[in-house]
Amino acid sequence: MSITGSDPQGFNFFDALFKLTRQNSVLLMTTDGIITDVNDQFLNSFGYTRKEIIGLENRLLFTKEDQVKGLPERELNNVNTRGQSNDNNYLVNKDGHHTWVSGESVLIFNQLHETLILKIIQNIQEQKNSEVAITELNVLNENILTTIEDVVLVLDSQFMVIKSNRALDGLFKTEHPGDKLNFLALIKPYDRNNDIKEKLQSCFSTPATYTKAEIEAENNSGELKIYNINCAAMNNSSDNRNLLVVIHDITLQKQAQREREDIIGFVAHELRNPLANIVLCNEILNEAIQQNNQQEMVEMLERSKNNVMRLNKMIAELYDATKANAGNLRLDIELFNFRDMINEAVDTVKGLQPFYNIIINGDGNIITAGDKYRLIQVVVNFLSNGIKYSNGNKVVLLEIQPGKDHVTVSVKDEGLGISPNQLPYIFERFFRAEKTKNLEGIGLGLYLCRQIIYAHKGKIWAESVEGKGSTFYFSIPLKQEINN
Amino acid sequence: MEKILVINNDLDTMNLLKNWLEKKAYSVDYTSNSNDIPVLIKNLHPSLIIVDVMQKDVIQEIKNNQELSRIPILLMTGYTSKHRRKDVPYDDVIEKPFNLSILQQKIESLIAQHMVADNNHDSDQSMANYMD
Repeated sequence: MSITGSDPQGFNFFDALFKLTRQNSVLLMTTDGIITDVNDQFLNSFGYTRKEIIGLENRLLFTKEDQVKGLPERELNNVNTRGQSNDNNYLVNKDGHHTWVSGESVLIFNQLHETLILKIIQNIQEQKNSEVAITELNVLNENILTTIEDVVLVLDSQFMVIKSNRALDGLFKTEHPGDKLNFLALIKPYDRNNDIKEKLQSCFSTPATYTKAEIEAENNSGELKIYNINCAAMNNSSDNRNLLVVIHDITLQKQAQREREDIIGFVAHELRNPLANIVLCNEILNEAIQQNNQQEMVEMLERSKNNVMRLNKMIAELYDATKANAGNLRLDIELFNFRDMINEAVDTVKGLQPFYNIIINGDGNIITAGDKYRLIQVVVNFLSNGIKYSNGNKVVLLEIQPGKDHVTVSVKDEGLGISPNQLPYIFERFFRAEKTKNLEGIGLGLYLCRQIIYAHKGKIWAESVEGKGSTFYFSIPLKQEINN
Repeated sequence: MEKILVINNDLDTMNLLKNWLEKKAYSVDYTSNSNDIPVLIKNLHPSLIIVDVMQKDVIQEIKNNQELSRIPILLMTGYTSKHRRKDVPYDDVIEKPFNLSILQQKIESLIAQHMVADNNHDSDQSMANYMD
C-alpha cells in the first residue's frame, strides 16, 4: 500500500485517518523505527506527550520480553521487505502498563518521496480478557469433569461414547478396553430386561426429556456396584441430538438402606414374639373359658400380662435407642444417694426374678449427681443380663466402689460368659452373642447402657471368661455439669 | 401319640405351645439349644418339627441328614418378607402372630403327609429287601 500526500479529489485521507480515528492509535516512524509522529488517540492510550514520544525508538513500546525475543526488529524487517507486518502482542505505556494490541504496519511514501512506516494499533485487551476467561472456564470444566467421581458421558445417536471423563475407566468390566465404546453394548450384560436400553431410546426420540434408571453391575475390580443412570437429551439440532449421561455410584446408600430394612425386619420379628404369645394366651384363655378351667384362665391372663409388659419394654428400648443414637438422650440431673439408687434397681429386678440371689457389696452411701432413673435402667440391665445368662446359677454379685471423684459399679455373674471375639462388640446396637440368640431381647439393652453412661461422661466396660461368667462395669463422675 | 419337637428362641412361646399341643393329645418336646438338636431328634423320632426361621442352620442340618430329612418342617416366622426364608428348606410356614386353628390344620396335614410318605418309604424299603 502506498499513500501519497493529498488525493486527486482534494481530500486528505491520510490526515483524516491519522487525526480523527478514535478507535486506533496511529504512529509514523522511519524505516529504522524512530517515531516521527503519532495521533491524539496514541497520546491518550500511551500517556506520552507529543514532545516526549517524537524521536523515541518504536522498540521501547514493546515489553522487555518481546524486545529480548527481537519482536521489534522482526516487525521492521517484515514491513521493510514485504511492505506490511501484522502481529498481536503486548505494548507498554509510559506508566509500564501492558495492553494487548493488534498492530499493523505498512510502508508509505510522503510528498518528499521519503519512505515511512505507518503503524495502526488496535486495543484488543477486552477480546484477550474474554479469551482468557473462556480458556479458564474450559480448563475448569475439564477439571470438574475429571475430578468428580460421577461418570459423565455424551452419546451420539448411535449410542457411541463421543465424550467421557476419566471416571469411566474401570466403571464396567469390559472385554474390549480402549475400543470405541458403544454404551448399550457396555451395559448389555447388566441390562437384563432391556429396561435401560428402552429408556435411553425414548430419551432420544422425545426432545427435552430426562430419564433415570438403576443398574447393578460389576466394575473392573470385580466388585458388585449399584449405579444410578441419569440421562437427558441435549438440544442440538433436531436431527443431530446427543445424549448426556451421568452415572452415579449409589452402592453405599443402597447398602445403608438394606441394612436399615434388615434392622426393621429383625425388630419386627422380635416384637412379634411377645405379640404371638399374647395371641396364644388369648386363644388358650378362650378354650379355658369354654371348659370353665379357672386355674388356666388365671394363668393365661397372667402370662398375657407379662408378654404385654415385655412388648412395652422392647418398644421403650427401641424408642430410647433411636433418641440415644441421634444424640438426643436428655439427662435429668439431680442429687441423690447412690445406695438408694442401687437398692431401687435391685428391688425392681427381685420383683421380676424372686428366685435369684443378688448380693450387694461395698458402701454406696454417697451423694451423687446424675439422672437417677437412667442409672437405675443401667443397673437393672446389668442385673437382668447377669440373671438371663446365668445358665441356672442363682447368684449375682453387685459391688459398689466409691472413689475420690468417681463411683464404680460392677455386676458379676457365673454364667455363660462371652467369647473374646464377641466381647468388643457387646455394647453395639443390635448385638447379641451367637450363643444367646435364643434368649429374648433385641440387642439394645447394653447399647442403651453405654449411651446413658457416656451422657454422664462415664466409662462402661466388661470382662468375661467363656464358660465361667462375666463382670460388667460402669464408672461415673460424682459431679455433673448441668447443661440442659 | 404323635410327637412334635418345638425349636424356638422364645421360652414362653415354647411353653404355651407345649401346654396347648398336649391338650390336643400330642407329645411335645422343646429346646432352644441348637447344639443338641440332631441327637434329640434321633432319640425322639418326632413326626413334625416346628422351628423358628432364626434357626436356619438347624433346619439346614436336619434337611441334610438323610435319616432326618423326611421329617416335615413347619417354619414359624415373625418375618413377613418371603426373602427371609428364601434359602430355608421347609414344608409349610406359619407367620407370627398366628391363629391356633390354622396352626392345628397345618400340623394335622403335615403329619398326615408324613405318614403317607413314611409308608411309601417303608414299602420302598421292603421292595429293596425283596430285591436283595
